[in-house]
Amino acid sequence: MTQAYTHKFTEEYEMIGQMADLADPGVYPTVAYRSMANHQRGVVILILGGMAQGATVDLVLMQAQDAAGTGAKVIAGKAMTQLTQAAGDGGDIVAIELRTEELDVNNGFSFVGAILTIGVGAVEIAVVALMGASNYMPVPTTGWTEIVD
Amino acid sequence: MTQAYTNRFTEVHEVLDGTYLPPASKWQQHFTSYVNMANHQRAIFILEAGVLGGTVDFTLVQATDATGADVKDITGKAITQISLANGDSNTLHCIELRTEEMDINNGFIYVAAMAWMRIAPSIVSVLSLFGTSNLTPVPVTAWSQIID
Repeated sequence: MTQAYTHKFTEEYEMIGQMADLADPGVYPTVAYRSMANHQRGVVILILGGMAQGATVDLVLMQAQDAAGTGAKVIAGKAMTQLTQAAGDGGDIVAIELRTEELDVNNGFSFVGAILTIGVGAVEIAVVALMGASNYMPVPTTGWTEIVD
Repeated sequence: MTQAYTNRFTEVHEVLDGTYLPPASKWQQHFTSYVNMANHQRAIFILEAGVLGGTVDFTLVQATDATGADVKDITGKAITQISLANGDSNTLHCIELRTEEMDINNGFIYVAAMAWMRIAPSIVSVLSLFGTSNLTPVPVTAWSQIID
């Protein structure tokens, strides 16, 4: 079912992580580990701008047993195809969808994070992480600096 | 009603202009593409601010066609100006929009967002999502990749 007209986007989706940067090569824990106990779905959106010569970008969703990242491991199938300057991927936009059933919940992996890896050269990049299909609405809005409605 | 578990985010929200603004273009007003709201009842425009060099304004505008004819502001749809001086780097802003807030009676059915970087370059990103769609699943052609 689609979003109801009477619901604000920010009532349904909780903002759990973001970055906007001209980022140098390195590994970035873009989204801090966050429990999915109150959400059944999540989505991480990556927006790419310009890429320096030879630059590469990888983004993968991770799961852990607590907010500190204990036991952190990759969530199977939740990595995007690498974006590269060589392939002309600057300006791309990517979504990674996640359902709770895709986590290793049986072994206590109920926390989700994301790791961004940039190789070779700097890139202009933005990431937005949202959690939806919330058990309790309206969701907290503390992740936003300002909401204009 | 909240998002259904059986719906992908990308089935119910159409991304019609997700634009990152490179530093070299910061000395100007930047408009996202004008989008017809005919098939959507709601939209959200997200502005992510990275390291600011000057001031940034972000506002929604409406027009009567996709080229931006008769463009004018949508009342009440502007963020409070953010600036380096006020320590607003690395902040996150959103503007919600319902179709009833547009001047539909006079044919203003196209919407765009305008980001205006002044004084010095700033790192910002704009993401616009169109929801409450009349027809789902929505097109996904604007995405480069969807991992599901």
